[in-house]
Amino acid sequence: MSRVALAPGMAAAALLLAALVPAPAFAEDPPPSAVTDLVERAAELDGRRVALEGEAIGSPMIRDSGAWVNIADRSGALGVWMGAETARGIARFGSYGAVGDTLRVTGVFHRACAEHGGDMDVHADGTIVTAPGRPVAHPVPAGRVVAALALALVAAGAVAALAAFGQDRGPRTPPPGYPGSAKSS
Amino acid sequence: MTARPRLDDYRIILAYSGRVAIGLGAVYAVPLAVAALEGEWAAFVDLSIGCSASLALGAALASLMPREARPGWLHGMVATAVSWLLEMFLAAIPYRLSGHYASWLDSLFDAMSGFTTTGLTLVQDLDHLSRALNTWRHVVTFVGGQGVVVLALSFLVGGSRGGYELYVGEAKDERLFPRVAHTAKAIWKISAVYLAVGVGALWVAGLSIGLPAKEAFYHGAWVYMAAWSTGGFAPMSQNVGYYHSAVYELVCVAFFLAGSLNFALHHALMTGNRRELARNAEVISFTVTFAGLFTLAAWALAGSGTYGGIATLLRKGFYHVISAHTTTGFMTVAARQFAREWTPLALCAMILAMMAGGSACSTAGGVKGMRVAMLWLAIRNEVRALLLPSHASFRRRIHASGDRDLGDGVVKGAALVALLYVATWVLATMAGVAAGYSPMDAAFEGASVTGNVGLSIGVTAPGMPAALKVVYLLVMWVGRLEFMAVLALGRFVLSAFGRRRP
Amino acid sequence: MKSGSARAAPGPGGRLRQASSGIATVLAYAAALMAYGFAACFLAGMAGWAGRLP
Repeated sequence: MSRVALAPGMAAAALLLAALVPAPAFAEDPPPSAVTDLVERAAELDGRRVALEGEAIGSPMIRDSGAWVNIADRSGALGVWMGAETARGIARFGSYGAVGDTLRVTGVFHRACAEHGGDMDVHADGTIVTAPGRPVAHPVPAGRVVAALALALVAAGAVAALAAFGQDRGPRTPPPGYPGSAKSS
Repeated sequence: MTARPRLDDYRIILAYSGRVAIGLGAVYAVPLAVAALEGEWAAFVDLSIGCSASLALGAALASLMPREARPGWLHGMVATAVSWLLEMFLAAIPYRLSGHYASWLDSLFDAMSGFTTTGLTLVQDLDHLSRALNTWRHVVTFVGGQGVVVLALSFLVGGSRGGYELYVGEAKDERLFPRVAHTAKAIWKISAVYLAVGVGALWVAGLSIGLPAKEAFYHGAWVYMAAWSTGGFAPMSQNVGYYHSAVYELVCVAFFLAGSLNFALHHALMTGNRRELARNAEVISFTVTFAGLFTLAAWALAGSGTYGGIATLLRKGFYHVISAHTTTGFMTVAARQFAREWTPLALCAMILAMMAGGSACSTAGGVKGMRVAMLWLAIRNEVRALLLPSHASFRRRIHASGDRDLGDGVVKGAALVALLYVATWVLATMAGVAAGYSPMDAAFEGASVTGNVGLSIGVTAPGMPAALKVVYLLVMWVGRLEFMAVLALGRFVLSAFGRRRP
Repeated sequence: MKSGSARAAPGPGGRLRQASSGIATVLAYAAALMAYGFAACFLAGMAGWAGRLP
């Protein structure tokens, strides 16, 4: 594994920092909704201001007039349309090798955004990082490596045995009377 | 074959399944290469276990082939059905080991969903899946689209007999060449040409929507494999909705539509017979049913105010109806949006589209355009016969890569398979209702599994009842093999345990 | 394939040209369906939206 997990102390310090510096919250900001809530209550929330908290996943997609950042919480994932500069400011996106930055997004929710081809989205006007992401290591269990090697040996032996002794060409006599068999080879 | 199978019968069937398993072991090379390239060693070890298991078991089974074997139809059919079950177990190994699936059942469900090009998934935390395992999911669906037996035929069964029986067992009956091995190779050639064009097109599309170059390539390859095989898997949990791009969706439509066309049609088009497109009964059938169902859905969606403009109606309505009708299953909405926002009429149009499906001998599922066309022409012929004097006769034919006689036997076959599809859908729907889902949700998801589509209205989730997972898994298997192979397996099992007839 | 085998086998360049013309035909079919989709959205949309008016 080339990636090493951040020292736990550093991660804790970063979390503490995020907690100490209060987010510039708007007075009327709603509490964060889960993505499933937005889907289930889409008609009711359409065009209203919502807040959303989740991990930035994949990669930012910078377009002409803004950027798409997809955000996932435990219940689902949703596209957030934000300024390109804001998107560039997000340090880490979730992937196999990393947990992405946790974002808290406030903005206007669209059930079927007319501007974006009917996508369900949030047009963000405020985006803050509430927790930084971190690299994730995927250690290989030693036992599994041994098992894999042993199995690979068995497989190599079996294939070699089949190649040496097996009847690889299959049956030689044509089956009489079956349709198709007379023409098939 | 006599009423009770003999030892040789078992050996032939297991040996064929073994050869298919060796083929699967070879296919494991693709995700293994990605894992090595990306340094994803944990995934590499998991995949190598699946690969070794396939090769070892495959070689052991293949060695059982008896010397004086006389494989027949029943062997071919039963071996196909058995192969698909065996492949499911072998492909599910790295899924389970990855920790992204809650149980073995979930892993098996995903493997079967992949091979049958359905595209429903029980994966958890898909957004953090390794590149290697994502490649495996999409390779499974790509191989499943061409047919695992077709794969084995082109490389392994080769010149041996019994290949055609296996080939037909996998619901493919077109012969592009007299030799079935040549046909299998031609199918792979067509797929390879489209693979190069499609991955290239999606790579460029990915770059144009702001994906980094490497991501754009991987996503292009994955999404292409899922599109061409009309599979419907995608590398991110939002499916194609992740990309937020009309261009990306448009390119997808072109390639999943291509994948839903008959390989014989592709072969005709690629060898200079371009006029076949306009004359082909399946293309006409698809065009007519699609146009009708989409018009219905568009009217329902516009009337209910679900989508309030032409652009949104195209990108949500058109996209999902064609995704359903080609049995692809790509989605750009959340599953529950179908349930909450689409009107019952629009959902009915979707269900009919999913049941009708794409072309025969393609990667698509469903009743298929060929049978829809045959039944329509048969009805027309009947009416025509009624109006003519009783002694008058006329030719009953259908054009699909050449004129074919539309005799009573052909019509009966098409009608029986269509009837079995509808019956399976009813059963899948009833299973969903029994598990506590609303009739509309159960009917939609039932059509999705029966037609190997993969669109979800939210029923398929890791938390769904295990019994329903098993029902859906079996329905996907039965639907993909178009019943015959599975019915043959059933008869075989019965004859093995039944009393010997006098 | 009756239609395919009746023709003389093309050379490598001709085969490539035939294959790409085959793909182009399929893409043209896809474009035609999309064009129909656009027209249907327009018409069905108009009818549907008109139906919602009070």
